[in-house]
Amino acid sequence: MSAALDHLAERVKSDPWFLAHPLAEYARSAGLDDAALAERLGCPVAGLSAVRLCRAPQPDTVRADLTAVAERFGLNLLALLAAVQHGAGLARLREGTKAGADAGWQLAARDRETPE
Amino acid sequence: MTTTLPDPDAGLVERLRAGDPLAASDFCIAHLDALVEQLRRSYPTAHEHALCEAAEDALLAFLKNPQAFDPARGSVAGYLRMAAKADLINIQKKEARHHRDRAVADCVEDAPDPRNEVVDEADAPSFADPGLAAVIAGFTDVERRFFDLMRDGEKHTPALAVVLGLADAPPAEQTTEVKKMRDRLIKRLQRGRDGS
Repeated sequence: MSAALDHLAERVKSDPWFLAHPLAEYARSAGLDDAALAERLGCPVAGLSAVRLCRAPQPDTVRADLTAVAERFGLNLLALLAAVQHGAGLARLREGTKAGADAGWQLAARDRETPE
Repeated sequence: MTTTLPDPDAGLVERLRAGDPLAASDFCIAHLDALVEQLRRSYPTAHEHALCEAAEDALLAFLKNPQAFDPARGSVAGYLRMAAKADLINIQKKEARHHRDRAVADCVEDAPDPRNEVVDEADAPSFADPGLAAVIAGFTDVERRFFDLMRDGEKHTPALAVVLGLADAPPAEQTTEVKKMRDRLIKRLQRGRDGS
């Protein structure tokens, strides 16, 4: 894998469109570096960028999408499923927390506007 | 009836459009390195990070919206090249703008102390920009003298306050008025630069 592809794979870790996103969330929460994540998924470290650049699974085809990825890159499907679901859950939680905090601010602002 | 695309990437594009989860990775592997290399050849003086960013931007835009590509108008590689060149020009414009912002700020805020540093003419910030020149030409005498002092690296409030006729004013007033004048001049210069 080239340096440019590694750079792009790193960049899209924050983009939910890519598989890199839930994998990054999972690796962060589990305290895994690239070598440990690759070992967990069952692929060489050099192959991680190609995996990360795959599109994130669609909600209604998660298993089929991840099966295709696992078969192409020789990954452990169960480990990949677990990692992606865990990572996606963390991402949703974070979004929910952020949305909740935003809603909290709105409620606080509304309270302040309410005449006593 | 199937559509025949005169492009070796036609199958890849079809897979992207169909939502194949592997297509994005295959597309990046097929195009990213070549795209960076083409940009490097076309823009040999561009920074490496700008080349990479432009190629990445073009690729990501394609991946997210493959429908925007019309195979009747050319190849995928040609489309990506055009998009990446446009992205690179935008990045370079943004960087040039950033450098100009820095140059203006350096001129009026962080000019070197003339007592212990000699500035090479070639490295000195320039006000050759027509927008900046017009603003400077419109300064009043007081503003001009204040500005000249700032450019010479004068940072002592009492010295700048003299130009404002506040030599005998309390220090707090001098500080306030000098800051007001400095901020006003910087803002006008920035507006002049942005309008040019």
